[in-house]
Amino acid sequence: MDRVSVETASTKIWDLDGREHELQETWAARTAVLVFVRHFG
Amino acid sequence: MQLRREVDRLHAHGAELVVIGNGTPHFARAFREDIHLDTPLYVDTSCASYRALGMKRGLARTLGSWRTWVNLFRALRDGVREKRVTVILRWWRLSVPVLIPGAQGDAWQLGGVLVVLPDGRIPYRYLSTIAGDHPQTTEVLAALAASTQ
Repeated sequence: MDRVSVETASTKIWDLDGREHELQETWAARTAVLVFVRHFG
Repeated sequence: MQLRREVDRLHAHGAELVVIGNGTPHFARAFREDIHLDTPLYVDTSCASYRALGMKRGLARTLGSWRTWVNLFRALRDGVREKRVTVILRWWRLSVPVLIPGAQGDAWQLGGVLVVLPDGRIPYRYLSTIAGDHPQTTEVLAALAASTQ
């Protein structure tokens, strides 16, 4: 089974208040179904 | 975003729906209000996370297939079942990424869906190949159920 690389896991994303997070925070506590949308519309 | 209608089922499997977009926070907030999204929502305007996870990008990939236009028609047709104003606004929002680059997101960046376990394993990955290419919700739910057994 594929696994997210350490480098990818530390990729930066931002919440809507402008706070920086690492991608891995989205699945750290529980399984995440990540939906990457093409654009907001 | 059909998966947002299955949030309760995701929660029943101990999972959370997390949405990531590449537009600005301003449009992300409007998006969240528009579709009544109450799950975590993030932005990545550089698309670094998209590239890191192998998502595709490109004009030809986005518009170069007849299936793209079929998908667009279906999206707008589904909008006809709503109010006409909503259809017009949806058409406008679909056009904005082309008219105002970077506003609602990178118009040429395709997306995808991944199920990621707390240990970083990926039991399911779907990368869109053209605009409007999305996995079946049942497929995602089945993969999630299998991964949590």
